[in-house]
Parts: sequence; structure tokens; C-alpha cells
Amino acid sequence: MSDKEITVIDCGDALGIANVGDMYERVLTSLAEGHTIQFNVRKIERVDTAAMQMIYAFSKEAEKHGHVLLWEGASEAFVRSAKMLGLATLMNMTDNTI
Amino acid sequence: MSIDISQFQDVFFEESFEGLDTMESGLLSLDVGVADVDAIDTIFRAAHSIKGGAGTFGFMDVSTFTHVIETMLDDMRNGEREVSVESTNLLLDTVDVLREMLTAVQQKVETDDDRIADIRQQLEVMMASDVELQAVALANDKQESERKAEKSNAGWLIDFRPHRHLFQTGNDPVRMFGELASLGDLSIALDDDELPPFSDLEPEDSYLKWILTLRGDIAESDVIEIFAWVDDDCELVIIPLCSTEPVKPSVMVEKIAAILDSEDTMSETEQAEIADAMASTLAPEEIASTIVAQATKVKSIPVTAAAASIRVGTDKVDSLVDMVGELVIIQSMLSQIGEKFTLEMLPRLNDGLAQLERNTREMQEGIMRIRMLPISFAFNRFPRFVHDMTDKMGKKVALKLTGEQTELDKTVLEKIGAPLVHLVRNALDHGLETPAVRVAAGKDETGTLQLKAFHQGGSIVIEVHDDGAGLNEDKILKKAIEKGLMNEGDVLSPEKIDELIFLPSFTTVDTVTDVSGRGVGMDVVRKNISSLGGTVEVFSKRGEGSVFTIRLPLTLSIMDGQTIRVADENYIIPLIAIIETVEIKAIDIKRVSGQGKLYKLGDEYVPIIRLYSVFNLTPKITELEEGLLVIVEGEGQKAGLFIDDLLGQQHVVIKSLETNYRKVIGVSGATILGDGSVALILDVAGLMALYRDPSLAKMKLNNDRAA
Repeated sequence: MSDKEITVIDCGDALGIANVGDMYERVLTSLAEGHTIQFNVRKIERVDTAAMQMIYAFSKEAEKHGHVLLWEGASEAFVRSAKMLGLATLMNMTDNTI
Repeated sequence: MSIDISQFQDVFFEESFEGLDTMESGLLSLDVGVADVDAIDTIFRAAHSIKGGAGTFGFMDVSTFTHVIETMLDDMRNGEREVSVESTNLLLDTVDVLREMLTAVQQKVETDDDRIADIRQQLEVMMASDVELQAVALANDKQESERKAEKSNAGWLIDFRPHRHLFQTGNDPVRMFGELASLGDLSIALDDDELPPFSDLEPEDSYLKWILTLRGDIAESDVIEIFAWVDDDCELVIIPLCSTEPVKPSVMVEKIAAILDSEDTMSETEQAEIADAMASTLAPEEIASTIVAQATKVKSIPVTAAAASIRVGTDKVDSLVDMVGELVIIQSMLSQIGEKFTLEMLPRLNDGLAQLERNTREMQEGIMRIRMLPISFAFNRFPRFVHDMTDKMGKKVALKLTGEQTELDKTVLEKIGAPLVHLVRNALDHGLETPAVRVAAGKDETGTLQLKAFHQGGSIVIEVHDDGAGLNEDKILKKAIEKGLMNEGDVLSPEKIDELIFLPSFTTVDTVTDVSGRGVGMDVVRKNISSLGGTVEVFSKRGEGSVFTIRLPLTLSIMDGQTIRVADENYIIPLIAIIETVEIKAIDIKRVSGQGKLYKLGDEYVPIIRLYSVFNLTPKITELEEGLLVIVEGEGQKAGLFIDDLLGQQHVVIKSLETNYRKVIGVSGATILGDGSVALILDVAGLMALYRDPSLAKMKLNNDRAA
């Protein structure tokens, strides 16, 4: 088991351009400190493209390093937005994700 | 000797489009059953000029089509044909078709032959006097319909490439694609080639691009409407998918190769053929790569070439010529003084310089007036718009336009169209009630929608006023509490509650109609108006209606500014944003955790923004009591800017920072001061965003780079 510290990024119920910059800084800082990142997207009711793009960029980066992001319990709105942007398959979301 | 008449084509197009506007407004003014000879004459003359001009330039399709319209108008004028709702609506459709034909000729693209033939046939059917002819025409119509049914519109292929700043305009592809999905069957292919590694990402920038395939019999205008707000913020190609015979992949590849080799743009038929072939034979990813390759060659929404020209009255040009004359006289007078200058000549020199200053200012104003156009250019679309919308919604609305001759800058005028359409559409859909509801409420069954423009101070004010139901404050409040924007029990004045509609994604609409309520929020309207340096406010009274008031600067290139000093730097605050300037008393300052200090202004508290901190300057004054606080307002919010000193007020010529460097949050541009130094012009709304946004440090980095 990894002894890395885990940073949970709670995306709350709305994630958009107003707070995506702040969240990005937090992810970068945590990565620089060697933490493992977990996004909590269970409660999201509204997510915009800027936020989805940031999370997708993160998932691509993770994939490059051999990691796969799991989206179990992701909210319906989150999955719907990913599908709407053509990201769901690329982010390994399956029909069982929700 | 021969004359090249093609040089007059631009004038012909300009006059013809004006003629079409005249025809449209004339047709909308016709009363059913009344042959208003003057009005019909005006419409006839406009059609006749278009026909004549088109014939001269050899645009025979336009000329022949207009001839049919002319015949029908002639019948109406002679009282041989009744003015009916059907005939007026058909003539309005012919105006639309003529406009499309002229645009196609002007931009050298293909016309929609099916639509032209359809409208022409409808005209002929209406004009056919004997039953037999009508029967023949109807039979032709049926054949045509069958032919068209076979070749029905299968949908659209949309190549959408947002510019980097798209998200910052408040537009969101998730929402836009949601709207597209509500029109038909949408499939999405993503192009993430430009997405940088996570560590290099600018999270507020847009990197993703999409190829969307929208299947269904959907009008192009419905698709274009969804992208109307992002017109200037993306590259967009919309290609029809036609259900023609499947094209073999090899044929398609050859065809694409031929097009990629050629310098010409494709005809619509070619576009449709290829798009359909691709859609039926390729996977979305393959379509994406092929389209990306050819996108630069195709333009389904052509840029209007005429937009680059401007018509100027000779009085404006004459007055400029006079001013140049005076300038030459002053210049020669000053040269003479300079050649043999003695101290006794100092008063004359001062007089000359004062006159030079006056003339330069007059000339500057004169030149700016050239760019000023009457707001009727923006208002003129509304009679038709309201006519069509109310027909669709079963409402009765009288549109009143006032102040159509109020002039404003061409750029402002071009950009105010979309927000105005949104406000008018909202008023028609949500504000104004149906006749039955109005009568039940004791109102006239016909609602009134008024668009009013006038000058006030240095600004243009546009009011959109309806006498409908007004905003439902209870519903807004309930929604705000649901969304966590307010707590239960919070007390807000009705005005403050109404302001909540400008918050991002705020909507109280429970069901989406095909007219409005699809999610483009009032926040986008406010953002668009803010980007023009303007403001929008709402005043509403339950049961009596709403007024949306837009305030815009006269021009985007010159503004009145207040020069201020912070540390060793000078900045400009737009005068329109300043409410007052106060000396700070310790008793009025309240310390709050996290966000610093607040200043008590009347019965409200405004945040204090220390500009030296925002721009990372070494401060000379840090004690609030030693400096001044400029109270400013942007996007309906107030703030106090802490500065060292006020210098003076002046007209400043705005130079774009974005064009010359990059967009910097909190700064709207730069200007050159009288001493040759450069001063940044502050963007009040941006500064407030910087203050509110937790990622202040990151954005400040941009400011450091700018400095």
C-alpha cells in the first residue's frame, strides 16, 4: 500500500470558472508535495467546461504516468457534462460510473 | 471608352440592403384589409430600385425574382389584391429570400435554390387568378415537396473551435451543446490536440475543440442562434448534412483531396455532399481530423464584406474639412511665431496653442462622429422579430421605438445587438402575458414593449420596457435560497432581489421554451454589456412590468478618465465607474477576517481594494487615513479603491492591451498621457473579481508580467 498522503479535492455542488483557478492551484501544490489526489465529484450539481477541462487534463496526465482514474459514485450532472463534451469515454467513465 | 461598373457594386449592395429594410418596415406597417397606397408605393419603389440595379449588374436571378414581387405589389396598389395576413407574411418571406440572394451574390457563394423556388412558387400560386392555374401550381408544389422530402435536411456538421478566452466571456460549451442536443440527435467528437500538460494549463483558458454532428430536420437559424453569443469568440463552421445517395469513401477522399488542392471555397452542394459522405462512412474521430484539415477552406457563415464600410453624411465630412482648414491656419501661425520668437510674442504663442488645443479636440470629436451611427440600425430588426415571435406565442404586443436617431459608436452598435435581442425575447416570453391573462388582470389585451434610446451625460441609455407581469421576487428569492446564494430569513429589498437575476446561471424558468429560457443567463447579457464598458440594471414592479436600463459609453476608443496616483505610478479610472471620492476616517473602517477591511458608505459596507497590493507596487502610503478612497461601481457591485492621490480628469484615447500584449485582469487598456508616459486604465469589474477570487495570486502574476 502506498504511504503517500492523500489530498481530497472536494468539488462541492458547483464547480466552474470562478473557482477552477483556485482548485488548479491546490492540485498543483498537492502534486508538488507528492500527495495522491482524489476528486470528490459525488455532490456536483453543476459543472462547466472550464472545470471539466481541468479535470480531463489531470486525468490525461495521470494516464501518462500509468494511473487510471475511477469515477465510482460520480454525480449524474458530472457524468452528463462529461458526455456532453465528448470526454466520458476518454476519462474512462462507464455506464456503471454513477 | 468603357466604364467598369463593378466599382459601383458596393454602393448597389448597400442601397439594396437599405431598400430591403424599407420594404420590411413598410410591410409590417400595413393594416389588414386596407390598401395604404403611400406605404405600398414606398415598398414598390424599394423593390423596383433593387430590380433595376440587379439587372444593370447582371444579377438576373435577383432581378427576375424581384419582378414577381413587384407584380404582386402592383396588384395590391391597384386594389386588385387584398392586403391580407397571408400576403403580408409571404412578402416578408420574399424580403428574407431577396436578402439571402443578395448576400450570396455579394459574397460569391451558392444560394439556397430550393428555398427560392419554394417562395417563388408560393408567390405564383397566390397570384394565379384562375382555378386551373392554381391547381397546376399546387400540383407542382406537391412534386416539389416530394422531391424535397427525398432530399430532406439530415442535420448539421458543426466544427466549433473556441478562442482561448471563451470561458471568460461567460459562455459555456456544456450549456450550448445541451441546447443543441435538445434540437436533435447530437454526437460529439473531441479534439484535444492543443490541451497542454496539466502543469502548463491556464485553467480559465479554453483549449478543447469539437466536431458535432447534429442529426434531424433542424433549421440552420436554430443552430446559428445557439452560437450567436460566441460569434466573435470562436471559429465556427456549420455544414449541412444531406441524405443523398451514400458516397463511396474513395470518391469522397478524391473529392476532399481536390478541394484541399484548390484555393476556392466549396459550394454548399459540395459541402453537403462531403459532409454527408463523411458522416455516413467515417467514425467521428476521422470526421474530426478531415474537417480540421479542410476547415480553413470552408465558411458556412461568411463574414459580411460590407461590414468594413461606413456611410457618412456629407455634413460631417464638410465640417471636418473646415476644421482641417483652421488647423492649417494655426499651424502656419505657430510656425511664423517659432521662426522669429521674442518674449513679446509669448501671449500670441499662448493664444495659438490654446486655439490648437481647441481645434484638435473639435477635430477629434468630428472624427469620432464619423463612426457614430443611429441606433435604428440595431432597433430596425425588432418590428419583424416581435411580429414573428408574438405570432408564435399567441400574444398581442405593440412595439414602440423611440430615439432611433440617437447615435452611438459603430463597434458598440454591432455588439449591442445580441444582448438587446435577449432582453426583448425575455420580455416577450416571460414578461408580457397572453391576452386572456392580461384581460383577467384588468389590462389591455395588447401589451406594450418599448425600446427607447437617449443621451444622458456622456452615455447612451437604452431602455427595454414592458408592461407585463414584472419579476416575481418571491420566486427569485426562493431560487436564490435553493441555490445557497442566500440564507432563509435574509432580508433584501425588492431591488436587491431583482439584481440576483444577473448572477451566473440564475434562472427561475421551470420549463424551457423554444423562445427563451434555454440557459443563456442574464449574467451573459451583463458580461457582454460590461465588455463594452457599459452597465445594465433592472427595475421591476409586480404586475406592472419591468425596465432594463443599459448605459453605454458613446465610443470605445475615447473616454473620460480620472488620473490617480498609486506609489510612483499613474492609473486611469473610467469616470463613468466613479461614484465619489472620500477621505477615510478611522471610525468608518471595519476589519473583517480573510478579506481585509470594509468602508462604511451610508448604510452599506464596501470592500477596500489596495491598488498598490493588486499591482505589486512598493507603497508610499499604507495608512488608510493618509490616502483617499475612490468609490467605484462595476457590474452592480461597489468597492473602494485605496489610492495615494487624485490628479486630474481628462479625455483619454484607449489603446488595447490585448492587441499589443495580452489580456490582463483588472486592466482594460492603456493610454498615453500628455507627458508621453503610459498609464494603465483600470477595469473596475476586473479589479473586483481579483478581490473576490481566491486565486488572486495567480492572476496577479499576469499583472506583474504586464508591468
